[in-house]
Amino acid sequence: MILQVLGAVFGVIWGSIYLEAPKKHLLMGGLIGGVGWLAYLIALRSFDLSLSTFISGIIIAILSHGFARKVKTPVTMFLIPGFLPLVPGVSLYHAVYEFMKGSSLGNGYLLSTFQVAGMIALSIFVVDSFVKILEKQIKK
Amino acid sequence: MEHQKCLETAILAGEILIRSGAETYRVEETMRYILSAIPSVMSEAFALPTGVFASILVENKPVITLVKRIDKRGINLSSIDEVNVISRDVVSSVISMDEAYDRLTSIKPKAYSRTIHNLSIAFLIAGFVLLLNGSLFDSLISLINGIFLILVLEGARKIESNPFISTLVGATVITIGAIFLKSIFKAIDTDVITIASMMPLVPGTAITNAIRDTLQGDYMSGSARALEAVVIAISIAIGVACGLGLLGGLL
Repeated sequence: MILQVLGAVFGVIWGSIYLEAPKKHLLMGGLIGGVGWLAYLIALRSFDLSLSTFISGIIIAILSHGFARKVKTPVTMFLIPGFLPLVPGVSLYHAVYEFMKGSSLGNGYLLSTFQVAGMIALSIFVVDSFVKILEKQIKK
Repeated sequence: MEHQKCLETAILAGEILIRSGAETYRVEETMRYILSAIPSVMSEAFALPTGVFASILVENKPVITLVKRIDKRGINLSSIDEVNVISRDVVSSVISMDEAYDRLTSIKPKAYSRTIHNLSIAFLIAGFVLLLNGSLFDSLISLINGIFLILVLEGARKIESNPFISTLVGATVITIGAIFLKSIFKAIDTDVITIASMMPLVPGTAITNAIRDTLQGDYMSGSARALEAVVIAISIAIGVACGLGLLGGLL
């Protein structure tokens, strides 16, 4: 599991470079990706795929908002690289693989692709809305 | 003429942000923010994934409007960061409007050299192999598959093919590449290497931006980006299917 999390940190840092993120924010982005993936792996022990994605997504989104505010940069800087590990590439691949084999298992994988994408959406939605409400309260 | 420079600066900032893949509300907010730097009767900014519009009306002057059509969009987080800093500096009067305009024009289109950018594709794949519980050996071998993908994407850039085709061909090549590598190195996990190699192609940015745009009430941009995500996902799926189909006997 340590190797997996290190892989996530490494992958997200290079992913940030791929997305042309500034050098000063690379390490932070990598850490967010690593923590998010750690949370996902831990959540996966007791919950199913979509709920684990949701929990991990919430953590990534909160960390991204926090760090972005601290270093005064747009949230996108951390949000996009941070969510890279969660993007449902695994389910998409398995769905295509099963369809090509002519097996009906593909439907299940296709469904979970949409579920995971939906959960990513939901977690960003929840944290974004929460942050907005919080900002309004602070301004008052 | 100060207000005209201000308008030009706002449009330029908006254009750079859209090109760099910023969320629509951020683009509009930044443009409005820059327009607010000089006193006006009315100023408005409007952004879509395909263009930016802004107009400004100052007292005793005719109203001016600028429209800028945007064709090419990508993702460049550094530019978003730089525009953010410049817009904040100009509104707090740290720099003048002319300086802001010059700094915006001097933003580099790429934060890293092409070599580093290409290397990042290979290392991103290697990292994701580990993330998906592949072994260190898998990760090492996946670098070769990364090179295949780099070659495809470089080729696509040279002939300026559309993203749908380059994603499709890229997905086909990495699928075939992974199976090919399996025939040389028996110990590797083909699934993990294929999935990790797909990662530079998957529409993570489009999904994230689609949600945030929709949430802000920018339904037009939100649905455009959601469609973009679906189209990219479909081209990856077709590409992988082509790869598996071409090597059907080896499944």
